[in-house]
Amino acid sequence: MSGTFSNYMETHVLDGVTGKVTTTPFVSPVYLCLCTTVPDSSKTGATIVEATYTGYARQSLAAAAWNSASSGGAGAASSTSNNGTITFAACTGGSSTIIGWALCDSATTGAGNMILWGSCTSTVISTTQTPATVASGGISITLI
Amino acid sequence: MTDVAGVFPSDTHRRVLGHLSVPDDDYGWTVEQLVDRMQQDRSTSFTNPDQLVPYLLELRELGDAQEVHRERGMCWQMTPEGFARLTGEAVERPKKQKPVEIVLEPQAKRRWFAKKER
Repeated sequence: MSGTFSNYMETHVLDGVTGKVTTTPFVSPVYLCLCTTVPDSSKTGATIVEATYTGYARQSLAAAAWNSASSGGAGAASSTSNNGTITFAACTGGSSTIIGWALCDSATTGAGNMILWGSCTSTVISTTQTPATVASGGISITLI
Repeated sequence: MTDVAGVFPSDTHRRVLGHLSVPDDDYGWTVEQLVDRMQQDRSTSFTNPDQLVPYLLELRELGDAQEVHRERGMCWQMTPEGFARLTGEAVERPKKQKPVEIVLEPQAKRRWFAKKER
């Protein structure tokens, strides 16, 4: 599944470029969420299905955690990515099998707006498969 | 490929179920919409309904998925039992502790604007 802007983000971007909205949805930090189902664009931070293992929390990604966006030049996409390893809090009980992810604007599980979503390879997080990490450059966001 | 958690017959079963709408959703996906949605999933390789339908039927047989009538027509959706299995505990876990890297799928780099599910 390709990563996709949520409906929330799409409408705000469209209204932003036409000036209908001048307050932006662009916030910092954003929070990486681990999901056990694959989100779709209609989801929110309250309706995505997140990991439930003990110790799970959304991972804060401040502006410093991202590379500045770079232009791809003529005919190529512009992109950005995370610039360091992202490490989630350790699993101390239970387990979850992650197949999706989302970026949200709230630190609180079950709250906020979803900004982006996508899928990932199936990964079990448990007391013996912890902590969960995402490599530097693992989140690469490209606009075509 | 086997299911990493040891719950479903294969990883593909997990991923097909994971792309369906959850029981609380008031919408579902038709087979054609699911193919379109899953064509972007690098961990699967569905290109037409004929490839996907056997998995849906097997998930229905297992009690994990169901066909429901929605505005879009006959759609597929998780059952509460399927949702519980998908989001529940893993059966297989290694004994030795080690970090685990989550690999976001490469094609997620490409279609932020270009592709939107219908």
